[in-house]
Amino acid sequence: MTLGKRKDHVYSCLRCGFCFDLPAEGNRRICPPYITHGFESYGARGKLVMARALLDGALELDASVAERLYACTECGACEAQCFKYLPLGAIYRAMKMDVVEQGFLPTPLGGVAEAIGTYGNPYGKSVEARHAWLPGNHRLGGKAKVLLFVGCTPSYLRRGIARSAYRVLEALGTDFSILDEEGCCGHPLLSMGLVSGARAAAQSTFEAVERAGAEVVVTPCPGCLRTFREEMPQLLNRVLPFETVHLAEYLASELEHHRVRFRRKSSVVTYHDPCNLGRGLGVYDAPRRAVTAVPSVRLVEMSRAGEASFCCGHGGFVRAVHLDVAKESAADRWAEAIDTKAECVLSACPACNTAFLEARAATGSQVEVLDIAEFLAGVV
Amino acid sequence: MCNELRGALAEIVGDAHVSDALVDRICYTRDCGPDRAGIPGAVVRPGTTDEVAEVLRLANRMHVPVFVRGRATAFLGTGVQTDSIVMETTRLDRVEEVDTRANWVKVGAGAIWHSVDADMHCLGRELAVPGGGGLFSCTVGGSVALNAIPHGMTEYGMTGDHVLSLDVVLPNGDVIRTGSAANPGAEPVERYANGPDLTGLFMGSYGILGVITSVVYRLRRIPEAEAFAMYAFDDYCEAVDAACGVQTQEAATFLVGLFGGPRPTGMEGDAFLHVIARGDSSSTAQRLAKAKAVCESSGGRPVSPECTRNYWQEHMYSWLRNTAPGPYYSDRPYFCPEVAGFVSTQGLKRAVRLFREFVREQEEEFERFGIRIKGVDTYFSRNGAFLWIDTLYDERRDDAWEFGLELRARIAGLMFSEGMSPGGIGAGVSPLIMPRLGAYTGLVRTLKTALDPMNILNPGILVEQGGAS
Repeated sequence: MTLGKRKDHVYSCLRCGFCFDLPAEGNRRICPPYITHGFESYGARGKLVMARALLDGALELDASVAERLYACTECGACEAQCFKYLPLGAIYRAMKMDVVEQGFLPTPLGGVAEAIGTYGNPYGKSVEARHAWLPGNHRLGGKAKVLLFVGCTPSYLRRGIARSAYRVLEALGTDFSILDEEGCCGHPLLSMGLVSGARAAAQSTFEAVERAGAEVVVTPCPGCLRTFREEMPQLLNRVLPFETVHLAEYLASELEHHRVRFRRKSSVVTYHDPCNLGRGLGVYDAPRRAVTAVPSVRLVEMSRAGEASFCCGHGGFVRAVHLDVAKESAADRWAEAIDTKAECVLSACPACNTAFLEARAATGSQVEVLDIAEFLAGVV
Repeated sequence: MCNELRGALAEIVGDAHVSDALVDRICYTRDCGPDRAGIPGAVVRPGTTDEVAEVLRLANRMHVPVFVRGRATAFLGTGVQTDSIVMETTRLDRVEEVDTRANWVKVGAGAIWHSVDADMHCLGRELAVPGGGGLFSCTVGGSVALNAIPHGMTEYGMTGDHVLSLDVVLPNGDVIRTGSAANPGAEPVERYANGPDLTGLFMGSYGILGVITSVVYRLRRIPEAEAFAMYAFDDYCEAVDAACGVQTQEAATFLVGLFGGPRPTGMEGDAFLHVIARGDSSSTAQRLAKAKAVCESSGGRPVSPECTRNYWQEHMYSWLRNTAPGPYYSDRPYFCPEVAGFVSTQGLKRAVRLFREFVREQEEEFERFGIRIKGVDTYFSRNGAFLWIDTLYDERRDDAWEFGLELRARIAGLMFSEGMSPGGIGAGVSPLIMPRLGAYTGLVRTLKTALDPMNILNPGILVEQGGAS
């Protein structure tokens, strides 16, 4: 049992319940599945109780345990709040690995994993269609100092983000290339607890990047970034010989070196911290620096921002098994964004972008929804 | 759990708010303390007072005990019995009404205490109750039902001092409102109206006499200034004398004493006092000057008040020792068989001495079972002191767990026979104190029997089990 390696942490849970709320901000719960379902088994404290019961033999691992675990959006808010600083994400992952081993991975996620294995993307789209968004093929498969790692969601579903990232790098005069053999980085597989699959995906991505000879990998996807920065080195047990940055970080760095100027754009915007980028990797300032460098842009923060940001509900492939959690969280966060009176809701993640587009459609709002790449591509 | 009961509960609260799945039920057994408890047969989450009443009527009809739960952040034992119903109150979480001119707020019992306080801060007010008592995520209802020990009670008093009115569902499903608001159309401006203090009947009753579904708290305008001081003493008796002087001269809004456990990081001394003064700028400065004179005349040395400030502003117990919460607690799979209660301020000298002697006598067993002392600390109240003795055991070891429970009984036996009266009781501590209280316990039993003849509501928590259990 993989969970056995986390026994000390599991037993260290004080059951204080800090993982449910953000009391300093008023009546605000922080955990999307707990908000939707209400029972503690969907929240961090309950999952730690389940973990302990599994270790103690008081509970058998079955579909009901799996159902709770895969309702988690992996937003990391519980871990950020934990009174005892327990590595909750690592505990959940160990539990998921045991779920997989015992054959209880929810069927829709099994389908996602199969699609990644067959097509190199979680949506089951053809390999050939991956680069259909590209304005031309001259950067495909070449060698350059900078590599734009587009990611599956921008490549297939949110192509405006892919095109915008491309345009931003071109406008900056960056010498960059795109992998012609780009595939899933492994992030969704690891999130499901499919470690060997994730390792294989990470290995093939790593080899492709190495062959491309890139020194810097730039991506508009925080999930891919987290794979490169945290998961790939662990899965492959090696230090990566290249730097990895989010597009927003790349832009912020270019700004610092006075290598970029933006056109004026009169707009009031609010920025949603993607969980993988913010709490996951600690990147809070760079996107804000990039956005506020645009003349006449005013950034208004939501009531929960930075480390206290609330999840859009679209992490951890929750949509595939708990659409209710995804929709409710997105609606909650959308309402918070609308409260700022901003004209445009920005994020820096294709999953968050999808969440907000759907939430906007559900409310009939006219407020603009853009990824930071799309926003900046228009003014760079 | 029979399908009939589950179905009946679902009819009352809706299918989404009741569960009899084991994976849910195991999450509603223990609180943060060391006491084991049974796994309930169902968990039900009512969203209105009427639903609470219906659940209790159903439980009476079907003879099933009901245990009420907020966030279960106390250390006292839940007493949950196998196959009972756990009624979880967190859906009752609305701030129902605020009157900033009359300074009160009406809030659902399942609201999180600190969340409500934060909401009130937006209005320039704070809950007059100086702290929720439980851990950060305690509910309002739990705080009131346990008459929780707030973290700022030297000047402001106890939880019960600031409750104006309650909505309570009695065990038979009847609903009452207490205080002035009991009169239909009247506002909840005074607790002592319409005859007997029925609000007081439910304060600290541990939910055995009724389910509190909403609470009216007094509000206070947020004071203009806060100031902090800390003093180190080479002898704990001198620290007690200083604390007595600070109380007598009303020189602190809140006073905390450290009389054992780890020393604050980087500090020398046998005992320490944290002083917090609130009010307008000049009165705050005057009070700190008084506290300084009192403490220094008793041999106290001023030390950096940073941990006092951190403690008060962040409500973190560990800051009392100059240490952030993470390093102080993390990676320790330890649980706390807490013994805590009120003594006179001067009585602290004897209580602390007895405990220190006790620790010396138990040294070998402490070593064998890996027992640690988390703290021997005191919140000074208006007229006395609330001493809490926190030991820690490692719950990965069954023998240490058993010893931890026995240790609580031994310390409680020692302290309660020497004049300590526990502030928190719960299922774990009640067997250690209620038998000592004679006719007092008899009256509690009489009240329980009168209001809950079937003994379906929180049975066994204060008085012995029976009835439906």
